[in-house]
Amino acid sequence: MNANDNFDNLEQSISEIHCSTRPELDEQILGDAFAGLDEAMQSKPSALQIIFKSKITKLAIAIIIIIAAIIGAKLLFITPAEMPPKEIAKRNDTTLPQSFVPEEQKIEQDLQTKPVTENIKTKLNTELKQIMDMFAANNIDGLVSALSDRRREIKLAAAIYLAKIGDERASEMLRKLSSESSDEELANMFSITASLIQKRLEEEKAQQKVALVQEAVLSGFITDIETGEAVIDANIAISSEKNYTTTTDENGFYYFENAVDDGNYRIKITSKEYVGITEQEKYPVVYLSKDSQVIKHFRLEKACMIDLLVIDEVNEPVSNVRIFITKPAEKNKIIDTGSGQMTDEKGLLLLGGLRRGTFNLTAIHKITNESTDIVETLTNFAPERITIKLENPNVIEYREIILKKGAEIQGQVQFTDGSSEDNLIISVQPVWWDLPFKAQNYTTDYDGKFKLENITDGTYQIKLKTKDDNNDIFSFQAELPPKDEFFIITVPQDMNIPDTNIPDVNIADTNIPDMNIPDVNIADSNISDSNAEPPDF
Amino acid sequence: MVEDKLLVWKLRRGDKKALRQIYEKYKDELLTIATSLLSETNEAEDVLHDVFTSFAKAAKQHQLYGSIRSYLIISVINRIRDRFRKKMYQVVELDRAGQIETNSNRPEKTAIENEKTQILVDALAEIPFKQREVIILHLKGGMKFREIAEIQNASINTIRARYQYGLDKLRSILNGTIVE
Repeated sequence: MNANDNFDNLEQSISEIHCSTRPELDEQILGDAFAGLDEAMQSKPSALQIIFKSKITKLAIAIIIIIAAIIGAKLLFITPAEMPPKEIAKRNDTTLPQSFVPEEQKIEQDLQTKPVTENIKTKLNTELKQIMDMFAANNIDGLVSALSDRRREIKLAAAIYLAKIGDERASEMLRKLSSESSDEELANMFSITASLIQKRLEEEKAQQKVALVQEAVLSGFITDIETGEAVIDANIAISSEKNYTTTTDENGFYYFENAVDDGNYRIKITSKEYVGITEQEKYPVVYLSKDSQVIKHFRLEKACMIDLLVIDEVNEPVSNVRIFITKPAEKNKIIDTGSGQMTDEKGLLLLGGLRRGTFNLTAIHKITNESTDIVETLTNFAPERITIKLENPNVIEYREIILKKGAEIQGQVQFTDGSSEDNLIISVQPVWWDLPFKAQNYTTDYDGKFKLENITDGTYQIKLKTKDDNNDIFSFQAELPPKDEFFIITVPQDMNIPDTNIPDVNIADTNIPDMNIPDVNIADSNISDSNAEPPDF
Repeated sequence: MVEDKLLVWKLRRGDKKALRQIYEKYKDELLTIATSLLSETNEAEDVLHDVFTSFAKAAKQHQLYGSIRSYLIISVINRIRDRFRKKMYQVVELDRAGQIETNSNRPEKTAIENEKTQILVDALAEIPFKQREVIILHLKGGMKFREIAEIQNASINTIRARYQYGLDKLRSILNGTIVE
């Protein structure tokens, strides 16, 4: 044979090596493996071992033993002979454990030769053994049906074994029985068993999760740093060129499946109830690739939360209010809690993910108007700020923010020579403003007139800028509303637009004679001309 | 893969069907790995047998943290390494060596399916075990060099080198065969 054709790609050839098992071998291995499995199942802890394996089981078993002792005592002291016939009948109806007394009589009639007690004992033992067999065979249906057996011993045995197997069906049945049972002890027993099953199922689920970890590119548990409790509903976002997000489940488990491009990913965690990892510079970076599994657990601190209600002056809730959180000491730095920060139609917003400390909450009402071609944001209220001190993560602080409509203020920008200027931007923000963007901007019309909206009483920082290049030309503080109804901003002469920063575009197009705004000192230019013939920008 | 989890879960409750499914799913792959590493089908079959019976026996105990597949592959590797360790002593024990000889005389329907596989397995037998292990675990077991490095307790670079040397050697062996 020509090997060059066959082994040219050696790696490929090796990966194509294939052997298959002989049927005889399959038979032999499976035979031995089944035997091994049987062995394993039998070596399953015996009833006694089960009982004493866990503390909870111990407790449950102790209760069973006590119950059994009580039943035994009752059996001893209340013999059928002593019991009035009426009483026996009644017990029959309620299917209490003593109800197998009439059966005793029945057996007595059937098999008169054998002593009665021995008969019951043997029968009970046989049936108990059957229950054990059912357990060994994993026959859950059988065990569940045994729960409704008339005899208490059978019920209890079935319950114990069901607890060990931990099947959901059994859990339901047990809870039902627990609520139906008139016998308090039995009801307790059933409910204990049901919760044992619940616990087992949860453990199993957790184990399956751990197994799942092996297939996920990135996975892990997010837990409470103090109590170890699962952090539920935390959002995990990983981002590289692409972004992926997921949420932790009821076990605090999260995972990202294989559909991730290889690369370094930043991890961001946000949660309302816990302090997440939300600061960009603190994001953990992890290298992820399709063929590897990274496990990363996170332990988070409990967060402080604020239950916020935003209303207007007539106590109506205000929706679409965005809340910006800042720290008094750190200006221009918005704290990202990752969660939604817009009030709902009831004016409510639950803010979370915050550490202990003092925070400023700035409420800004914004409606995005998308009906027109240009998306514009409208506001109906003046921004408002409250300061809140958060100290206890276990208490959700309640706060109200009342938004005011404020007043409309009209005015005009004037220059020292009495002229006015168009196309200026006036930014008006309260002095307490600490957000990295401007509160509200207004534009002057051609004769320098402007209209400020939603202005509440207070001190404001007012800045004038040219529209074209955003240069601040004048900045000052003022009490609003002004004493005079008409708000006149007078620009001092030395605050005029500096030469260098003025673009020389389009100026030639303006038909203002001799008026070269960029080059000329505005105060000196003949603006009155422009009033007569407004430049057509 | 979720199916795998379910199988383990069932197996832990003594479900024979689950055990059969696991066996059916991985038997050929494991046998192939064992055969290519041991260069001998009888021993490979023994390994497969041992791995599965103990896998079944441990059904209750093991908390499969990984996938069944990697668990089984590692089991196979461990068994094979045990065998190699024993073999080293067997070189001295002549009578035992004889025993192995007779063992391999038992009727064997070859598990190796085709000639190409046979040639490769034979060629693999001629390169050092560690190199062979790297090649097989990487190409057949789908393991990363990093994982193999852990198994062989060596650095990734060593593993890479072993892989490369191994392949080079295989190439020359195969070319040699052809010339003959």
